[in-house]
Amino acid sequence: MRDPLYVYFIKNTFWINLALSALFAVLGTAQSDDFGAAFLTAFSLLFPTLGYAITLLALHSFHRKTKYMYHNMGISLFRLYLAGFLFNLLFAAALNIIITLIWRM
Amino acid sequence: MEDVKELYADSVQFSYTPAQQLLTGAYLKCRVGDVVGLLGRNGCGKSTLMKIIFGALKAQHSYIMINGKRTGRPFLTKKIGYLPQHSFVPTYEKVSNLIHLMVGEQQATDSLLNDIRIRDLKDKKVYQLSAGELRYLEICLLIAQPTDFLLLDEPFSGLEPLYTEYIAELIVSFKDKKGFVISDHQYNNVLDIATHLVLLQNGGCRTLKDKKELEFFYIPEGTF
Repeated sequence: MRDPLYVYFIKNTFWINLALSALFAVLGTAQSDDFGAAFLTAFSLLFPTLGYAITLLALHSFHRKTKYMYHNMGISLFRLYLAGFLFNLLFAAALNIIITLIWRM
Repeated sequence: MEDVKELYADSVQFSYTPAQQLLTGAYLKCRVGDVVGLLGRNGCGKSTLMKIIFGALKAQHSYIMINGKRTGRPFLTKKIGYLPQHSFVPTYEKVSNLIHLMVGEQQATDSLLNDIRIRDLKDKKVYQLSAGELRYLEICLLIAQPTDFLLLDEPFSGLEPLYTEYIAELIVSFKDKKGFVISDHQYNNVLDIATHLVLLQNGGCRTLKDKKELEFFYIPEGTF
């Protein structure tokens, strides 16, 4: 019963985080000789860390009151943010593996 | 012997600044079937006490038991719900989505979607609802949770009389299944449905025997 709220939170953070991390990765690796590999490495590092942190900061500020929605379903913010972090970690790892495999083909 | 479902909070001490202690050992008890009216002046700590009992705010000291078990973060037990003063649902979400999101059981979801006051709202976004509709929806969402106790912080504030009545009816109709703690400055609405009255004053809770006693501490003499 609590799962839909975790999915809802991850869906809410995913696209903002994706856009931010992609932007930061492009800005950080634009001058690189091997842009593709450098971008993928930077993106994989940024997506679960800085991009996610900025997304959380924005959501936490703009949707401060919605924390009670999660609390009323028995979910603490720590668990929620940790679930998001783990999902992002898995997503970045999966993306890395898939793209590396495609490059090798 | 049948287990009595009880929310028990004792020795709640809290201060926002070291110089001024807001709660100095507040005590509150609520059983399923009770509607506890928590009254007190502005800034006396009613909302703070509710947040501490819910587990959203950490007190310097507190002893909170739900159904006989001590708990540090009560909301994690899923036995207690809390309606904050301000809306807690995302404003950009559609009412029907919100109901599906927060009410897991299909039967409860269908029953809520067919509620006479909600079925016309289900295709609207939350920001399109009036204050009364939103408050009513939020209370319905909380009541639909499998909790034993609900803390309602100013459920009647700023609402038209019709919705005040609907919400009072809703609380009374579910009081056999849940215990309610209600705080509101519109004390007449609280007095109408409360089975117990508690006055928060000078950092502590005073249980009142009847509403006449309120005249000594809270409201002008001759009100009742």
